[in-house]
Amino acid sequence: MAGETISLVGEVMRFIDITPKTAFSMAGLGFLGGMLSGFIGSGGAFVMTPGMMALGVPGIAAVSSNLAHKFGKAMVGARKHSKMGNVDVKLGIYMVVFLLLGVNLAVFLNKYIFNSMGKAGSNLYISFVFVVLLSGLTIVMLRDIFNPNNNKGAVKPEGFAAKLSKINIPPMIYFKVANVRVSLWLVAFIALATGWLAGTVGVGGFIGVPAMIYVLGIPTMVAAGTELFLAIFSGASGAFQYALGGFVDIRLVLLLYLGSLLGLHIGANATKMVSELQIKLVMAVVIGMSAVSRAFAIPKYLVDLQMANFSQGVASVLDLAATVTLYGGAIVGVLMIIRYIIRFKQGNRVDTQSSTQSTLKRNSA
Amino acid sequence: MSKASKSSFLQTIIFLGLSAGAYLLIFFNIEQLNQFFLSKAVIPALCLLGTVIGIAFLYGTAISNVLSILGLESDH
Repeated sequence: MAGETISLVGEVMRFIDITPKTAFSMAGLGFLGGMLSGFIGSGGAFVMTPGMMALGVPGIAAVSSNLAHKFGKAMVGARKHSKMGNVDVKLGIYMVVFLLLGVNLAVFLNKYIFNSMGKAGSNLYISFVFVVLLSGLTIVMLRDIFNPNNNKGAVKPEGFAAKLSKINIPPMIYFKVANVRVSLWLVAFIALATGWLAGTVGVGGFIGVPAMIYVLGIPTMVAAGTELFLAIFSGASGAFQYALGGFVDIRLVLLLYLGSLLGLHIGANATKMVSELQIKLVMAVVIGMSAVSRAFAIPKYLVDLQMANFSQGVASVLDLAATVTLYGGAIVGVLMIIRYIIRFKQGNRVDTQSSTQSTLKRNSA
Repeated sequence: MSKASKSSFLQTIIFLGLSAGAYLLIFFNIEQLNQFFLSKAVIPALCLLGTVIGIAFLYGTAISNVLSILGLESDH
């Protein structure tokens, strides 16, 4: 199937050709992303956006298509989540203004970089943001996993977050559902950062939710509910603006859905069978490998932009390493989930067998 | 098979059929559709997002029904 050509000021962007192999890879990518998303709550974009880029999709088209894919899911799931009653609408309304500002800023920056530096420049920018964010996130998660004090349920903000939470610059606003009184400036800062990330890499909740919990002091369930409410707006705004620029490839969105909606259900089911630590471990592996993958991809973009001078061979090896680490990380993550499920099922079978045997013994006695 | 499970099975078949039909319709007419969707105007952008939501609803419901028949329901 032929790719579409869009004329832009700086470069002509061409959507990739969809061959049976690409279609299968895209659906598989959707399955991996969906399964991880269902399992760890969010973050399919950590795998799907770099995965699409590794398949040759321009970074901006990968982010746009992923945002449209996420928006469709959010819209369909919105009715279900609104029934949960965990949304602080007042907080959501205050945040949505700054969130949309952040999304607009990100879309403007992405489009500007694509128009002035072309596909390689846009890929470099998106990959760089991925490397910085995902590396930081992996370090925080590994510290959390290997710090025994943190696994006892004590959730206290530390360092920078603790300092931020003490800021009391007026106007101070009281949010009834969340039952907190916080500075509007903090709310604005968090919403702006979440919106910018959503518009840049296609996912912002992984920063927004912890920030709401640790900096604003909002209960976890209300933070997660309010973030879902915000995701609809950030997804709608980002996807619409990218669609307006002709960057959304509907074929990619549909192929991602083929795998992601199935993976999402399986991943969500798996969460009932594992511990919180196991979820964090899978998350750290997938996100860490995704960061390494993007770091391997950066030299190729630098060569394309003539900002570095590697031989073609070295650039090809690094590009291959980027693909292997990305898919390797996602596959290891999925295998870990499957292993946890099998272990849980085996444990359950043993429990059922022993309880049946004891019942039989009691009855015969 | 009880009446309720019969109607749930029928619903699953209908949603699977509708989503397969929608996928085939889109992929066989992608050239013309993309000419419209990529024309960088408000109406085509809204139509594109509407199509995405529609497909997510049809296929999502179909998958959810299939999994619930297999006893693998989730909160998503």
